[in-house]
Amino acid sequence: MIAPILWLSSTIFVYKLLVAPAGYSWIFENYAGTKDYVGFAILGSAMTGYWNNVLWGMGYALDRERWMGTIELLFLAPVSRLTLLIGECLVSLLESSWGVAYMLIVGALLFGVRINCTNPILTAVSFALSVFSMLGIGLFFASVFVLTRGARILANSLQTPIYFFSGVSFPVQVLPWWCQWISWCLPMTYGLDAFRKSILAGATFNDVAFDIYILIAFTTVYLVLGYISLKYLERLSTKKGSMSFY
Amino acid sequence: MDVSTEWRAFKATVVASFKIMMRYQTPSEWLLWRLANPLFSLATTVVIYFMLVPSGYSNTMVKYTGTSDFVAYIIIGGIVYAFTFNVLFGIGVSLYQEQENGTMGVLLLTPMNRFTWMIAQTMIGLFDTFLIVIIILTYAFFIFGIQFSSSVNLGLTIVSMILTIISLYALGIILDGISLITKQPWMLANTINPSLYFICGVNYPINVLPDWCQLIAKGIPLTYGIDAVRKTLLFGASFESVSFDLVMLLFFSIILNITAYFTFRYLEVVIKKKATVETY
Repeated sequence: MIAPILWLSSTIFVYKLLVAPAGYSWIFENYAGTKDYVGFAILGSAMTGYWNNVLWGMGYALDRERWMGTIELLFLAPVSRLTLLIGECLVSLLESSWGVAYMLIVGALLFGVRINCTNPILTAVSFALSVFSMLGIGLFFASVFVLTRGARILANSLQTPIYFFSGVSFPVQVLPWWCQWISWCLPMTYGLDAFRKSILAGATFNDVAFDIYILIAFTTVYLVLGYISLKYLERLSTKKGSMSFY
Repeated sequence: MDVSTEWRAFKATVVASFKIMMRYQTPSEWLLWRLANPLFSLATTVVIYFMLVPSGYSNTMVKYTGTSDFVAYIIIGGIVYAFTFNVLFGIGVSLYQEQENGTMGVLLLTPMNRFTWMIAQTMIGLFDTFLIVIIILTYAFFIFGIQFSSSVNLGLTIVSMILTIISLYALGIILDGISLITKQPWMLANTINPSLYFICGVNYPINVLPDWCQLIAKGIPLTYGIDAVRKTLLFGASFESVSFDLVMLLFFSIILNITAYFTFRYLEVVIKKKATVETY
């Protein structure tokens, strides 16, 4: 309960230190469609909670089983691997949801964030699609993590680049064009954009339609890729007999 | 205490923790993380700055900090804070990790000094942090073009850093001792981490905080450490300019380490008496 408030306060004091006289930045307002940087930062940081939990919950799920010596038994169980992984991930997602709700409440009550959500269904859809696309990526990582003992390092190494390119702390339009190309390949970019616009700027479906369509496409592609890589890993490690190796 | 025996134990612990670290990752994976994370963290700071302050000059920033170089200001805070992180998640959770691995009982039976072991445990992490700092500075100078004062007194910077690290080690030992009783080192470290980050002026001077926060900040050595290192690197401060910070750091290093020693000794006796060494 305390840590999110402290992290948030650190961001707010930096913001106040830099833009205190004007109270806002025109560049930010221009690209983000809102003057409310604090609300923008809160939602960005809340979504990183989901990203982390998908990685830790789903990505590390198989690695954890291997660490505990139960991965082979798990793969012998007559149940879909997908069911197991989604089950592992659900608790993490619930925990993240509490985090998002808590940070929004804290933001509104303590830091004056103004929620302007005119279409809650749109918010729920953009949110659900973002989470599903992350699940696809989580599935993919779950397989990669079994193939390399450096899973944690790999996940940690990807963390800040993904935050950077998907616009967790700023709208991606402020980046150079070649960076934006990378941003447009990440589902989190669209998820964050749609989620923020629908909560902070009272966006309608038309305002975020592009984000939603792209998110649907990404979600489908990543879930299929994730499933295929999981199947491939299972075949490969069964052939090599290396499932429980480090 | 037999110094040569302790030294041998110290070396063995350092080698063991190095081997453990390299079992988790290949050298290329280790390098990937060290290169990627600082680069993108720094890039994020730079982008936020120029998004919020398009002209690159913030009057408020200059008024409170005396410099308009936000990136250099943040980098120095981040560098000092990197050592805090190493202490919190290095020493602070080390005994609990031994408990999780089922080796704490055996460890407490060894005739080796606990403090030798705890300090040795963090040596690889400390070295790792030094490497990260070098990588950050390389990026800062060659990619982001930051500049420190031309009259930096490197000796003063190093003394300030060493005193800060010594006082932080005491904090880690106290945390490790408390985790013997509470069995919740992660929760403690995860709460202390943002608290120190927020209150000790990692990203801003503490005088932008409310009065009561400033009061707390003045009771934490990290505040003086960050201040002294910033003054020496950014403004080329002389010994006189940072003497108050250095005196406070010296004071905290002595007081906190004595407190840490007795706290840890006391808590070790408590868990042995209660027979809760291996319980959760």
